Amino acid sequence: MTLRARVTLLAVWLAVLAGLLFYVLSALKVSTDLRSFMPPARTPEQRLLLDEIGEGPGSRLLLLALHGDEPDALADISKALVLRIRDDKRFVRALNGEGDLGALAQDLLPYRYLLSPTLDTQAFDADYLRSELEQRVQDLGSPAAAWLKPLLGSDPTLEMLKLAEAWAPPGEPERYAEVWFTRDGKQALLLAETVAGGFDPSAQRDAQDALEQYFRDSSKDTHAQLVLSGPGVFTVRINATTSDEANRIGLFDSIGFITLLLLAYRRIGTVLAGALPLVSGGLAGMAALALLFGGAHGITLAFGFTLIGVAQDYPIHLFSHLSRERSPVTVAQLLWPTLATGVASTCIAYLAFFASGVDGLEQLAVFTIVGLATAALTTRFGLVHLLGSRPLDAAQSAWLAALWRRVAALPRPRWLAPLLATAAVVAVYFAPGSFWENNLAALTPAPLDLVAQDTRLRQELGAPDVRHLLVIEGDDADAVLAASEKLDPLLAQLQTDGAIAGYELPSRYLPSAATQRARQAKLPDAATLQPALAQALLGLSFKPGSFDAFARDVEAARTLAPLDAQRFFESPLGLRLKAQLQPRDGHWIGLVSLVGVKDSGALVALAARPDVPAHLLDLKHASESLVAAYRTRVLYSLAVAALLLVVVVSIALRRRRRVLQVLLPMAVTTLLILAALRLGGVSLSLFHLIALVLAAGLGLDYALFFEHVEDDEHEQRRTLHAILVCSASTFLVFLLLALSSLPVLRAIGATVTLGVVFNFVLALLLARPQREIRDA
Amino acid sequence: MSLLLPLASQAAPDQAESRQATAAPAACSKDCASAQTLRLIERLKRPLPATTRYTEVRFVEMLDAPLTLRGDLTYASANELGKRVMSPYEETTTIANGQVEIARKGKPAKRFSLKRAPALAGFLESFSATLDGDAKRLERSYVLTSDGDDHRWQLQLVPREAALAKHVKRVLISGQDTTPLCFDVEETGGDSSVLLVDKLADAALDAVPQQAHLQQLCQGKP
Repeated sequence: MTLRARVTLLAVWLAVLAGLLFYVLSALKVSTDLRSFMPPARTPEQRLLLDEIGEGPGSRLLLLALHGDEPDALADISKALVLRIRDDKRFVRALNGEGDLGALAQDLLPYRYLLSPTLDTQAFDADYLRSELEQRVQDLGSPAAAWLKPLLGSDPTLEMLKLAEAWAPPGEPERYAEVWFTRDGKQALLLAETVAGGFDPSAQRDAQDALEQYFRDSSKDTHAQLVLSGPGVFTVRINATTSDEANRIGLFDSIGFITLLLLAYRRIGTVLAGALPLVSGGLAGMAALALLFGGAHGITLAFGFTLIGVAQDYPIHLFSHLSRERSPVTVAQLLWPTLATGVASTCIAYLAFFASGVDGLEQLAVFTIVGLATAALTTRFGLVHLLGSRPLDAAQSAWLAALWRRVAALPRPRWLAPLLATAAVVAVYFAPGSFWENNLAALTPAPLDLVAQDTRLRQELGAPDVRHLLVIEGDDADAVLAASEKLDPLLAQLQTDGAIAGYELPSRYLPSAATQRARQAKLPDAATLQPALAQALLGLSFKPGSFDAFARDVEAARTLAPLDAQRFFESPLGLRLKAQLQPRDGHWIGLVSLVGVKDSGALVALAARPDVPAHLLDLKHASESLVAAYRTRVLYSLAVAALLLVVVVSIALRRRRRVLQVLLPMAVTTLLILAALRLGGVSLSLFHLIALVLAAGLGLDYALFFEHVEDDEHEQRRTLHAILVCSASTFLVFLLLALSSLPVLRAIGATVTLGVVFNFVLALLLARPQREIRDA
Repeated sequence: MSLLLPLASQAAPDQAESRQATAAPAACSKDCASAQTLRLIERLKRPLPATTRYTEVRFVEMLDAPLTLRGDLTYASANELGKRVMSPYEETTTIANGQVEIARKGKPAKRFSLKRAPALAGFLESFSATLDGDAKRLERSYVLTSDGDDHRWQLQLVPREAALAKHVKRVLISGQDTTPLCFDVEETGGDSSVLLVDKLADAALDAVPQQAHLQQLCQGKP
């Protein structure tokens, strides 16, 4: 090809890549919500977790602490901050302890007699009114008069205050200047509940950035500092540290990788062109996801890029086999059957994932198949035309020739494979510790200081437990509320027993219609109330007519239709109830937050009682069972993929002996990796499984190339060179990951690093045909 | 009772004098108090803690007749005031660090921020600054005027800040020699209260006390 034609080809190629990039950036929506990566729910517990509550209201709570300035300044910031957060649609609620007496909308004020529990145990008779009014006289003589005075005329029994107290979160912190403070009085405390789930890193970061901004606005000219905590904060922090570390390692990887290729091929142009197939594959894969799914999960992309990393080997095989005698196109034609066998069998194996019925895995299959196929085809039909005619011939290298002779002299012990496989199986079987790691969070642990800080704030704030939740289901909102009322005394008992420190029921905000009607029935009519009030007022010095507004409100409350959820939702407190009472396809659910769970056994026992209208949701257990279910799907897919692989390789290589030579190193390597990990005390996770698949793909390629050597010694040296460069570069890249401090990166890195070593050695010992020895 | 009388330690007058010398010229720029008024306030300083019996008459709009409460007051520091009602009922109010707690027998204590009771906050400010002889602090919050002579005097405080003026119209402190005897707080809503302390704490009052009579008592007329 002429230089001009090569430049044109490169320009067209880059233009296509730019077009793909533009399309991907505009069309591919990357979701980070863990739920969309999970399989459909099977158990009621999983269904609740996935469909109905996300990760639970506890996980959406952000804990805020302000410190570093005088308490008065902190209190002012707290008040300003809460107002800003309440105006933001990204938050369900913001609390700082300020008692908002106006929380019940003006038009709902008469409802206070139906919402407050006073009438359950009291009648508005002369005796009760008298004792209340005597206390009001004392109130007027006390400093509280200033803020009680406006209430007294219409609410002499102070029902609004009782409601405000009942609506305060359970286990309230101390207060200073009306807002929550830590017991030592040095930190102002706030709670903010996000709309987004706690494990959705991008939405959480968005919300937390908003909080930081509001804090900066509210704290100008002070020394105050903001401490944020809660599951969402962990998620954001872990996400950031993971991607920071992955990026840092990626940078070192790239430098090392390019240096290695420059050493191996001594041509800058060649090395740069070698990146094109992988980039093309990645972009094509993402474009396919955008086209077919409209979006992809972040985890799919992370797994996907790990899996198509094997495509970097395709240009290396091509480069290592180049020589002065043959044109790059001829070399590519000669390599193609071997390369194509590897790519085709891998791609067909990934079809198994496509049939898994899980969105995340289907996306993974599409991305990997399109990516690998594109990388292989662009290597074969594009890259070859870009290469110059004066490449470095690996076969001419003296040290390679020496190495080749040693390698050629290596024995090929037939007993090796069965021995290693047996030893590996035995090791896996007897290795201590649990085989599977179901807790995905264990792979991305939160920093210990953050956890300690969270525990401290959670105790100070009495914030709900993140793990346990009681769930009530009912045909309609009122059924859920009625069930919630039945739960109240039972939970109160648990609280008295010390099993829990507190709880928050939806019926605390809105009693059921039946309860409201019962209270309504106890409200006296005007003919009864007037004389009772007159009698109660005897001897007290209230001016005549002081309580006319009270009599009017009681009369109004007597004929009200009970307050329903819909109307309550529209009131200022509506969001709080909405967080605990929600309609879901034809039925309603109620969520009961629990605070300070000390004895989960007591909760399990309570929920198991037939008369208890709720079940206990253990979010940790539910998510672990989901992960286990997910892993089962992956394992099934892998089993089918392995079968498909055997079939495709058998068809391609035809002879049983050759098939065995190619597949055996890969299979034994997989067992050896498992054994090494398990002996190292590692419990396996999804990340290990995906990395195992990558290792197997690498092994297949090594074995195919070793098995398919030509008789020509120079050609054999070139193959050795190719596999040396492939394995050395992959080893380098994943060794750095394996050394990472983050378990999730370590999982992938260690698995693949082990895989490269085992695959290389075993391919050398098991895959090369016997005749080579004779030739040597 | 006599704890509110000046138990003059050696240190107290010295402090008052040095404060007068250094602070007075810089503090005030508008509606400044006369030197005589400032001197009057500085003479009122007394050691802490101080305790006195009191009688408080509260005129509340909602009520036909004023409330008359008797008990004792403990003034521990600038931020801490205890007020115990002993008749006609029992009630203990504690103000500390901006928080008010009202405790009654057999009832859960009421707690709220001092900011929700601005009239009380205003009273506490004037009360503590006066007993501290801190003319500078008092002048920062109030426009000060005085009347009478060193033996029988009246000190009038009108809030400077709108936030306080919204709730408190004026505070009138009357006293004899170096001892305040009456704190008369007039709120903007029409309510008012007269607090009689020290030797007036046990003054005989009518069953339904009248404002005019209280004024006379405070000014030392029989």
